[in-house]
Amino acid sequence: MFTLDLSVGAVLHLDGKLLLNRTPAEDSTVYSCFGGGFMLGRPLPQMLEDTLSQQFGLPVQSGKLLYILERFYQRGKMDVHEIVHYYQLVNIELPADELLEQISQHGPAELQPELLDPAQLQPGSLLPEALRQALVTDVQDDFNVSAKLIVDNDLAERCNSASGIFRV
Amino acid sequence: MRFCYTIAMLSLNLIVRTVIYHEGKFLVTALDDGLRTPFYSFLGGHVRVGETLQDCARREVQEEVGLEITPAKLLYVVENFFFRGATKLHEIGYYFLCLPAKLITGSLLDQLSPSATEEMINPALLSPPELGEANFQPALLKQTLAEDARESFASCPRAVIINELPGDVDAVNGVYQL
Repeated sequence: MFTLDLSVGAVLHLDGKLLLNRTPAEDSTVYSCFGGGFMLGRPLPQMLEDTLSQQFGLPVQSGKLLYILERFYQRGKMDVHEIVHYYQLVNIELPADELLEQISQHGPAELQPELLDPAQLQPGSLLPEALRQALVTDVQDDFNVSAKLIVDNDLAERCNSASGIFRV
Repeated sequence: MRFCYTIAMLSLNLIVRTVIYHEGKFLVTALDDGLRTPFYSFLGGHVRVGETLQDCARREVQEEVGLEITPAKLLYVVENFFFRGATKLHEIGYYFLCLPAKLITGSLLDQLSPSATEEMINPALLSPPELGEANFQPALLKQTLAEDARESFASCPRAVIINELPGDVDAVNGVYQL
């Protein structure tokens, strides 16, 4: 049984660093991008803006579509087909320190936002690995790149999609 | 099984469309489902569970016209909010520029073998001006397609919002640079 998960993710690039959330565990070095779940009846870019504004207090604007990530994996007994649309955020008016403070004040207590030098993102620190690779590579070009499709298939027995990064 | 689920009063449709632009003309199909005024659209269809968007594009074109293609570039993410029958839909359409996998010699139409089971597939080639005059859906894309084709789709991808449910959905119609 497959279930579909649609969501939106944010790529915020400020002063050469990426805004990421550290997994709430002591000494964790696993990060994820900010973002949120799908809202039926809301266009994807606005969905991301709404999420970041309402949940994290960030007045930002969605810019370029950078990645569409398709993940096939198992969650409990359910096979999941997850599609995440990653947009670059633009018109960031807050300086870095205020940005982090804003998120800490408005977001859930367990959040651990950090602005991270992409060079610090070692393999395994952001999943799936193909997304980490794409971020680390594209940040060097200031994300002046064309959109990519990223496929991460952990269900090779049940779906035959090839994993990889596809420039489209 | 295809992706379609309902929350509240809206249902989600996830589709892929293939933009095959060959020798200055778009490959389209004339659709007459008996429910709507006949119209032209790109080949494509619903994303199935367990297949990627690219695989969906390949499968649909293979099934519909027997052509092997390669998705080359994401052109548009079209979000369409509309009624179909009594159902309100939020449809997300991923439009890919697709290239024939093999060299086409002669007319593209002669290379196609429309599926006998896909009775609504009537392939045709339309130039951008012809597309502009035709009843092509989504109509909002017609001008953009012509402009983007002139520039080899260099400015894509774009976001396209078509909101026919302004009472239910707060979204402004338009074509947006992504």
